[in-house]
Amino acid sequence: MPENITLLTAETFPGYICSGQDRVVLVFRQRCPNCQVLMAVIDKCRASWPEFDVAGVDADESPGLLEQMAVSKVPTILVYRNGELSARRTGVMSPPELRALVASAGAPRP
Amino acid sequence: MSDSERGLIIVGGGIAGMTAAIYAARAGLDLLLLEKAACGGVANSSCTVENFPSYQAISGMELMQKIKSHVRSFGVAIEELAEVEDVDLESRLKTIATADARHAAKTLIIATGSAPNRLPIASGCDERVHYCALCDGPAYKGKDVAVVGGGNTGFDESLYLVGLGVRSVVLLECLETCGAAQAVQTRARSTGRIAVRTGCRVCAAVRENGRVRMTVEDVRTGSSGTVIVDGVFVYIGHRPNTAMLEGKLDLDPSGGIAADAFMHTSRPGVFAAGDVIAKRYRQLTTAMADGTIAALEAARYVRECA
Repeated sequence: MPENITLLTAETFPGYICSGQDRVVLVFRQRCPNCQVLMAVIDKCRASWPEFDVAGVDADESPGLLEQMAVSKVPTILVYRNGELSARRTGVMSPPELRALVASAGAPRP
Repeated sequence: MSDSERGLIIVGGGIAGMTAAIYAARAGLDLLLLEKAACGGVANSSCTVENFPSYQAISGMELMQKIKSHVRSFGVAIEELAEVEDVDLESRLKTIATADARHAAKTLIIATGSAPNRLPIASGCDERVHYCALCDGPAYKGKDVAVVGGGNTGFDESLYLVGLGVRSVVLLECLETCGAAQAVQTRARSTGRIAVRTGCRVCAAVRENGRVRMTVEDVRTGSSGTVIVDGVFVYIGHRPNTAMLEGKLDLDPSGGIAADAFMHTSRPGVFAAGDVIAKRYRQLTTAMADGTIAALEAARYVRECA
């Protein structure tokens, strides 16, 4: 887990997604190779947009939260706008694809 | 966009590319290794590797990390998340363009590996069809799954799923016999939780009452049956990653690069190694051998061109 990703739990998740206009959440597993790649993609996006804020949900630690989010595959990126889910995508994506996903949800483009 | 010229560029950071990097660095070549995602390739997704000499059992990701560290110890420049957008193989200097830079080198080694084949049916339950047990297996603890594919990977991943606490696995193979090594087949059957069905072709998969209802055809009789599970894991081989090379290198009908015993392709100065080439056996050890030969031939090519 990269140091600069805030880890969410079932308790902190609802408050987090409502705490700002746009919130990006990565659902991951520690041993998932594709999740490691996506974390590197996030880091690369941050290099050009330091304010790009992403929080993480560890699928093994929060199975109930996964059910609530209807996530059955990792990695999955979910983008919330004003607390509502506005975009989601599963699997590895390139930095341009991640930027496009976040932009499609209305968030400022990283 | 910057131009930089090197002796060698290796495209692909799987075990073939990383092995080539070690040999090329030892040969004194100034080299760059480009990897579109993270070094390790498809081996990163292997729960357990049991056929790599020197380790009785090791996770694929751990093994790849060790090899990457070995490559780094030679000071090799590695760029990850560097997806190749274009290649020019015709000029004396070969050029590679990524989103961030343009690179040039006297010689190239293509080691772009392969990607898993998708289940060849229109599925109405994509959320329950998986290709990585390490990633998605834990969600099926106490549940029933199907594994499609009776090769080594299908059996290895079935054992991993059982080890996670999956209640039962039905392994479906469309051929009359499974291709996996006998040792792993025996171990799988001895668990009592892995049922192997050969001669079964998956025709359809739909969501039904929160589960997956698969229609399977008996290839001997043509009769259809039903398998109901909570999730499906698919391991039915790989296809070479050669889309960017169409029209630039000779490929075989399956899309693999046509390479000779010395890893020469149809273009002088362009070598290929690993799962991306047309061949029968795709193993970690065969990819390492390919990478070794490609690097030694690339070094010879650079010497002869000097």
